[in-house]
Amino acid sequence: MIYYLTLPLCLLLLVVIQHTVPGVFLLNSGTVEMSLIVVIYAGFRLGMIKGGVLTLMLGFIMDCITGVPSGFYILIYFAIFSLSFLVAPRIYAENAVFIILMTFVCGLLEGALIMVFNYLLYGTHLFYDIFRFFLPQLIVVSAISPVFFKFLDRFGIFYGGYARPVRRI
Amino acid sequence: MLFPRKNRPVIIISLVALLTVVLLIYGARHPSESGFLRKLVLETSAPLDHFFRAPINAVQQVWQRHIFLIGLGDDNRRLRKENDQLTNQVVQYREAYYESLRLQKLLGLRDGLKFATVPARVIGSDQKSVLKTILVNRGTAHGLRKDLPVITDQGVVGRIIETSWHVSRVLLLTDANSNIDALIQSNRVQGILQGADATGCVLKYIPKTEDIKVGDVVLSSGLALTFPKGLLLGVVTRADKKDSGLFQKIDVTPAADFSRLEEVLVLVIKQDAVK
Repeated sequence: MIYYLTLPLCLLLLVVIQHTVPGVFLLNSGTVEMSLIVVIYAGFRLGMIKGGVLTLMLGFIMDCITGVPSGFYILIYFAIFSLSFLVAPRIYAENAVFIILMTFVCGLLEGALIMVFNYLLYGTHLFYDIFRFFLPQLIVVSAISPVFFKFLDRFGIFYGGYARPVRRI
Repeated sequence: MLFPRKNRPVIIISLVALLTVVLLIYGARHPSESGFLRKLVLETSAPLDHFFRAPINAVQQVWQRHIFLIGLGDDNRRLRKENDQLTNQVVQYREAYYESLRLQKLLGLRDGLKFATVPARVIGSDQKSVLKTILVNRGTAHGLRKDLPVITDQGVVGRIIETSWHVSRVLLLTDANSNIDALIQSNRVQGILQGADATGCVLKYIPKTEDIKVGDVVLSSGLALTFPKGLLLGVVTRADKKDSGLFQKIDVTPAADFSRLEEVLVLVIKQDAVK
């Protein structure tokens, strides 16, 4: 129960931090979307209910913080969570290279969905922004994802460890 | 069992995805409605954002002011501000001069809009997401509402797109979703000023027959009734007639410096005055 009570505040803190702190190190040229790694982690390590609730909450908070209509990030994050959740039992999800690759692929999926939704909702094209801002961020996020996974593994002990065992070779 | 055990995850995922699609469609069709939960998150995130940003900004300011430019930083900032204010004043005087000439012809036709101003402090900035926005520390409790214009002493900043009780979100002029009715001060040609992100803004729908020069001042035309007439939007930095098509390609640099926004003014235009 403590998981569901503390989750909104933890996620809000995460989103606020990712919008403020990394900008200093990247000279305000971008953010490091740690929330994407959390969603992939939820798909790999958490159960459907725990991971699903985390994803929906995180998506909603992202919608509120970035000012886009409700459902925008919820749908994107849920798609990434679903992909990770369905893929996780079939692969070796502890390998750092695989985590990096998976984060990169999910990031590309996110970029594509943002572009499509933005066009459908506002009629504006973000194609060049995706290459100019999104891709460099994605490379950074992918590179730090294994470290972040380790951190979340440690953090997860407070919530009673994994709800779902990872596949080991 | 409601669903077969084997297919349960896929069915649940499909159902939730369908619900989120419905939510997104509803959210997109009713953009003016900020629900209680959205307001609550916005209200909670603002102080948190300020908590993390304040020490970072303080360190950055110390670095910029006292290590790099000892003594010069303050002078530079004061002179820059003075310069912006004087530039804005000159633009306003010139605008008033042109207006008086026109009004002499039109025998005293007056712009009936009356509005008060609410000063607000910028408490958050998000210029790297889908929407380029800033957060200000005034909300519905201070009389603010959606679509009110936001300005600084330099010029127009943008318009409010979402409000909670004590926080409002302002869509910046440079966001691609920002469209403002504008006119060129010198020859009164009207167009639409649209945000173009990194390059500033573009002035659209200006025919190739019109003579637009670099340095021409762009003002709000007051046609869409969101922005009052005559507010400084920016300056033309490029006017290109070489492209194929009916219209010119005009780049405009916004008058306001979005990287250094600290305080802004919200123009509280009465709705009955607008109608």
